[in-house]
Amino acid sequence: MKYIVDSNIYINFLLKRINILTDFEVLQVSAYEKLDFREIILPEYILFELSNFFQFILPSRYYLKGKTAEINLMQEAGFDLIRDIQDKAILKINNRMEIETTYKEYLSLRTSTFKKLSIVDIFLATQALDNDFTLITNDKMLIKYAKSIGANFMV
Amino acid sequence: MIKKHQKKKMIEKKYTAITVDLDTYDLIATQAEKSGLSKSAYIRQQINKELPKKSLTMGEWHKNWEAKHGKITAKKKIRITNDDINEGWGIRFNR
Repeated sequence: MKYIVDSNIYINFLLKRINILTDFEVLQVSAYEKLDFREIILPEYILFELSNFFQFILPSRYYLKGKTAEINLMQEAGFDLIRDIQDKAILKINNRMEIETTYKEYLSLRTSTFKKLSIVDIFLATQALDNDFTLITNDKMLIKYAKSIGANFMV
Repeated sequence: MIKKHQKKKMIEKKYTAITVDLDTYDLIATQAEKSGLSKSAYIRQQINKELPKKSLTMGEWHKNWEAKHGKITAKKKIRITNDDINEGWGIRFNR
């Protein structure tokens, strides 16, 4: 079985020692920990999201006063994960049809209960549905959405 | 017997369109010709060749990383939400 993993799982997994996780998040992250690199399907936009998080969000939002060394270590871990995962996991080349479906879905959901979902979230669910991948995420709204369109997901 | 619309559906399922730049295309075409394969067969062969027989789990990767670089610890615990991750895009584009 192949798994498509949301960026919040990668981040929570990497920062689990300093991050406060809910029971649900602990469950999802521990399922992810058991995955082999080869079981992970990696769309490149997830790498972009991760690099943005480690480069911009982590130092600015979570800057701990006088803890520059720790921030650097966290960033280093993040960049090492990006380096290794893009090397070892299976990279997913985006299909044009999937991109077009995503745009349509994203725009049609703007007035629904799923309006908080980002376009990346919808892209993940679309790719999981089209390719029979199992989606792993910490986002309960995304799980609800995946369920509504009939995509596989892990709970 | 497979009806026309069923066949179309099967073809849609089977193939994924990929886009490559011209240099990559030339490289694939040259290498495929050298090995006497079609371009798609060559790509499939390369993908299968690249996959290692045994890899490691994400948990093992984390343990190895910590053994090499030290544990990530902080006195102050943080809470990361989905909005923080999405905001990364906003910060990037506003610069």
